[in-house]
Amino acid sequence: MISWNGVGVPKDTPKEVIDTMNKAMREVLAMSEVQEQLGKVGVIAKASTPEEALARLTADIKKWNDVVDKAGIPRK
Amino acid sequence: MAKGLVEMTVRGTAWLGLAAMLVALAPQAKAAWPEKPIKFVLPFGAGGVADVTARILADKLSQKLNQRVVVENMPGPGGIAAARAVITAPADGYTMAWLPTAPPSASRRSRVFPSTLSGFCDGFDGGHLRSGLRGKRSIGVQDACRCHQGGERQSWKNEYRDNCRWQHTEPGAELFKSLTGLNIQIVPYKNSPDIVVALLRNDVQLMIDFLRRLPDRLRTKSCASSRVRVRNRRRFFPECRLPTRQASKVTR
Repeated sequence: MISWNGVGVPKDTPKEVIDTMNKAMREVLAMSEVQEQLGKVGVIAKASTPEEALARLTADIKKWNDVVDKAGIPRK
Repeated sequence: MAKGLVEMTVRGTAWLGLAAMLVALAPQAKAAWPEKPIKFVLPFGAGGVADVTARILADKLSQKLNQRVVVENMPGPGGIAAARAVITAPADGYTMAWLPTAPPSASRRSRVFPSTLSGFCDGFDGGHLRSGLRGKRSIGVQDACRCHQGGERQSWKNEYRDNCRWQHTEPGAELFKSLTGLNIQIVPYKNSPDIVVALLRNDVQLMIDFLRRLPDRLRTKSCASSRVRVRNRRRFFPECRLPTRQASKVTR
């Protein structure tokens, strides 16, 4: 089972802010020092664009809804 | 003396006038973001993998952005409390959400999460983590599935606890329970260190969490890993000699 983490901001956050943060995050995740630190806790550093992150989130929601239905996991 | 005082006053007034003009102009000039500390609201307790990950990145981002990035832990069911704290904050880029794998929460909390989710705009990016099963007994996924397929249901009672209710590990636990047909009671914990202690005290017999919590225990064999279903597990923790999917002969 693969888990992922990301960063989100409220709607209507200025695009410049998102772009600036995304650029900084990409640079940080590309640092070998960071990759090494994250690797020690079992995390693979992999940056994405905001569009890719949203697509992943949307696809995973559908996937997990299907898993819950097929496995018969009760909804609480 | 009096003349000097007047001159100083006049000069001072001129400076004040200039300062007032600058202040008047300031709102029109767009300030560069970030001009004050940024807050990452984390839906997990301290000490877990997500917390460590967030703090590593926050430290580096602080250097990159020349502004402090502060991590605030706000554990709670499904990360909903943390999410709400963010979406009710101003959309100015100074309050951000550390998003866990939200889809399981979304699928299980369909009435709550979509409205929370809709409060967010795009995520930025993220790290990928892999979780696995571990326990003090060797209950492999394949073994358990075989029992289920053979119509036999194990009667022993196992409990296993996951990281935080409605986070991604709980649907994983539910899925494990569903596939194996084992009589398992799922008990949520808010942070990883507490689960490790509970496992060692035999309060619970299985846990689902990230591998990082147990290398030392695995090394000293106070805990054992159940079968692992990913291909290259060993590259993270080679010292633990964790079995790979191939070595475990897990086929499904």
